[in-house]
Amino acid sequence: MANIEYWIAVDRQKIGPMTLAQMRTRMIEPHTLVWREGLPTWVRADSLPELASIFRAQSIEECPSPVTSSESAPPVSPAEVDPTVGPRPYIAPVADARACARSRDVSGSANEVPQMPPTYVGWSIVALLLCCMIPAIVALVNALRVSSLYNSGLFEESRKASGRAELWLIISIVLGLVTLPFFIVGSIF
Amino acid sequence: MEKKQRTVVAVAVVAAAAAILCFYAVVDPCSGWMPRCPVKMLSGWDCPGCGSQRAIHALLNGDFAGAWHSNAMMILAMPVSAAAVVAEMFPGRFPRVRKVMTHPAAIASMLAAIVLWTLGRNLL
Repeated sequence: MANIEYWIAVDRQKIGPMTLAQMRTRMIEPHTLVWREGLPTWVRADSLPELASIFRAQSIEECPSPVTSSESAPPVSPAEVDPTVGPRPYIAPVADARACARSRDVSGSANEVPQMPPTYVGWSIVALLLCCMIPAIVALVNALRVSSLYNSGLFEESRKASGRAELWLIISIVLGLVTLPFFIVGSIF
Repeated sequence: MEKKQRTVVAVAVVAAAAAILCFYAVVDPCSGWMPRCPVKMLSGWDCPGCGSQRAIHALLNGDFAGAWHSNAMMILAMPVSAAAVVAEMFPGRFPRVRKVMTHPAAIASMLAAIVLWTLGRNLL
C-alpha cells in the first residue's frame, strides 16, 4: 500500500511518480486528476478512498465551507476524461488539467490551497534596522524561503521555514534585550 | 494566532511604539545613557540599524535631512515593513498588500537592498 506510485495532473503536466506520503506535501485538490497503477483512466482525487485523509487534513486547516468548493470546482466525472488517455500516465489530460487550474483561480487561494504561512518579513526588517539585531538577517533569509517554497507548492517545507524565521526573530530579540543593559553601561565609558 | 490575541498584540505594539517615540522625541541619543550598537562597539562597523536612534530623534524634531543622514535605509524601510507587519497580522484584511509584500521578488529585493546598503555605508 505504501509503495503505490501516483501521478497527478497539474497545469497540463503530469507529476510523478510519488508515494502517498509525498502526495500529502503536494497541492492535491478534490478535483485534481490522479492516476495510479490499476486504474483504467485518470480520476478525480476525491474518488480514491486512500486520498481522503489528505483532504481532511487540508480542510481542517483552511476550508471552513465545503459549499463554495463544490460550487467553484465544476465536477469532472471520470467518464468525461478522454478514454484514449487511458492508463498511460505519460500524457496528462490537457483540458481537464486546465479546468483544474482555472477552478483553482476562481475559487481563490483560501479554499483549497493552504494560506501562505507567515514570513515575518516586516518584523525581520524592524529588528534589523531599529534594534541592531544581526541574527534577524537569518530570519529575513528564511522569510524569502517561506515565500519561494510556498510558490513552488512545497507547503510543508514553507511552514518549516516559517517556523525557523520565527525562531531566529525570537533569538535576535532575546539577544538584543539581554545585551541591552551591557551596552547602555558600555556607552558611558 | 487567534484574532483576539492578534488584536491584543497589535494594541500592545502600538502603545509601546508610541511610548518609545515620545521618549526619543525628548531625549537626544547622543547624550550618554543610551544603548550603543553592539556591532559598532565590537567591530567598528556600522550595522544596518546604526543611526536609527539618531534618525528617529531627528525625525521627531522635524529635522528630515539629519534623519536621512543618520540612517536613510530606516526611513525608507519603516513604512514598507509596517505595511508588511500589518498585512501579515491580519491576513484576511489586506490580501493585496500581503500578496505584494510576501512575493519572493519583494523579499529578495528588500534583503538585497539592506545588505548592499550596509556594505556601501561601511566601504564607501
